[in-house]
Amino acid sequence: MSFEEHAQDGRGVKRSAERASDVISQVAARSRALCASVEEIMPGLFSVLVEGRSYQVNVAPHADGFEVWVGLERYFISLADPRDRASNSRQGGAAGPVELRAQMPGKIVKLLAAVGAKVTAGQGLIVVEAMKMQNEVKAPKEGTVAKIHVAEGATVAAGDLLVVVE
Amino acid sequence: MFKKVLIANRGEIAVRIIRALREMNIASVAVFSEIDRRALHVQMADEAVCIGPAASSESYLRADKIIGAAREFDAEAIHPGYGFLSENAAFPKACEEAGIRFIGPRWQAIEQMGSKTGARRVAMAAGAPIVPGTEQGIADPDEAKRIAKEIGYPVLLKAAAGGGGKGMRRVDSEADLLSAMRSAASEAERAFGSAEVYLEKLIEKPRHIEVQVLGDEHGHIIHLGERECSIQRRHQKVIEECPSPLMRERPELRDEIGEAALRIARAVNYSNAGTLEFLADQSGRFYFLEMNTRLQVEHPVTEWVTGLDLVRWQIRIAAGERLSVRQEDMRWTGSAIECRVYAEDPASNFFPSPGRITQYAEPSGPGVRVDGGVYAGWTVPLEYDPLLAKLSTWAGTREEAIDRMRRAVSEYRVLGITTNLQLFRDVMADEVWRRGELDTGFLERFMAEYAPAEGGTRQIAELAAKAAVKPEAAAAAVTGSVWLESARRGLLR
Repeated sequence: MSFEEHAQDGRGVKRSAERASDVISQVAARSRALCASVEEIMPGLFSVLVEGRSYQVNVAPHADGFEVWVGLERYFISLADPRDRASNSRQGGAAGPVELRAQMPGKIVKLLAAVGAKVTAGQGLIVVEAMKMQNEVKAPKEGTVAKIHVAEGATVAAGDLLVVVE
Repeated sequence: MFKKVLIANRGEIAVRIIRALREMNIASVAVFSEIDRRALHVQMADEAVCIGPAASSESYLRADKIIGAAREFDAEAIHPGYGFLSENAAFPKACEEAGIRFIGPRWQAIEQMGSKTGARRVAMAAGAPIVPGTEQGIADPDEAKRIAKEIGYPVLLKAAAGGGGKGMRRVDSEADLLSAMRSAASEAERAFGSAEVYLEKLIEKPRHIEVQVLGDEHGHIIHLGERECSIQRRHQKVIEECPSPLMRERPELRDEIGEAALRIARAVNYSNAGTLEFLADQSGRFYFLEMNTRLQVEHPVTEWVTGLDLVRWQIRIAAGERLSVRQEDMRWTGSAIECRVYAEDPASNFFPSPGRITQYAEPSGPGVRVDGGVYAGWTVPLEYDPLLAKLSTWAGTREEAIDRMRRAVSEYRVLGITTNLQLFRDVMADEVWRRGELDTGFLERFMAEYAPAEGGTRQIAELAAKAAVKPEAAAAAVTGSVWLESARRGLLR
């Protein structure tokens, strides 16, 4: 459809205007529906667009999850069991390097893999003790251990980078 | 003018003073305790020296170490800020003996106004109104009746030996006076070991109104108008403003209360910046309470509205300059509000919440000023006052200044610790506050019914948390129709 075609006489202009507004509202509705995205502006600061609404969101590690501010609303979001997330992303088949971070403050009990080791999805990489419980940090996907940022016996804070799997 | 000044303080006020010094091309020397090595004022000063362990009694309260540091660094003057040594007459005295200028009033004036009873006597002699009452304990029932009648009911019985509400009784009529005296006295006896009680006029729904004065060392002194500081928690100010909303109904009040303040200040030959605190009843009748012989925390609202830089004037006056502003030159333009941003949790009775600030962003834009002393990565120490920053806004009218404060608060981000920012947002929206119907009980009443509303953005928060862990997971969550559907169903509306 071309608007110019109809722009010859008054009626045409009117009709095309009606159609134009229809098209605009259709496009607008579609873009609102599609316009859902998350951009990390800088570490800890996110811009979230959902249905055309814009939210500035700040995220900081806190205890076993995150302290999140959406505008002036504050939330504490605790994350699901890291093992679940590992298996989720295994299904998701994430590409590229994946950073694994400490979910809560704790102590590195044991390293189960070395840099360069080939690992399979779900394989244990590091044993972390937190709140008197030991947890294995598992490989989120099949790949290679690219970097280990902690040593055995080290204490880590929530959000600290532990290991990168490529 | 001085070439170098030492700041005997920390936190936001030290930063404020360093800024003024830098604008005047005067070098600054910061002092800090061991725990404040990474503090903002240390980073910003030209020179800095550690004066002892974290405990203030071993550092910021040590006049000897501070004066020693001033000598070592060749500082010609010391600015005390507020708190710590600022109202201790022995400190300016020691400065004088060491040949260092103290940026503040003469020590004699601090001494005279230092005790509440002393200040009350000065005010009475100067003919300024004080809360009517008996100075000493009163035991004779007939005398009590006579005095109560004279000052007018309701009156307040107070324990001479103590505070905290113990032994305090409100008396509305003569019929109740004697029994109230007996019970107040026995309660005081039990609490403080002294049955002595005294009488004072009860000011109902009092407003806290204070007057800023500024005088040079050549006998010229002016008042810079009032500030209203009725929004308090545990007798500490949280929100202050200039002008007081009371001035809308009683515009002549500023001159009256300002004149009263000047009479008291002149009586002690006051110089430099000072503040006279008054209680006012709802009709605008005011009574002198006490004087703060120093720069006040809430000075920015006066600076906004008068256009005068109080810290700069403090320094100029201490250097011997004449105050060039005359009383008749004074103009008060627009309206300014200040919120004290504290590391504290309003939901747990304003309990301090020290700790590490993980993210920090100050608001900006038209009419916004932040006097801050912290940054992202700074750990708010347990050892000192948990004031993080003072956020102030100015606009042509009070209503616009309030709107601007709401906007500024919404831009402020402090993560990692709990602050009172949300409370400010909700107070700014309160109808009673917006109407300016204030008294010192406002915040207590407000808190009794207060529950910060959750804004319905939890899903957005969860989404961002996912993105923080794993960007691709968040992307999947966003495009996944389940999430979007539930978002549409109302949580985002």
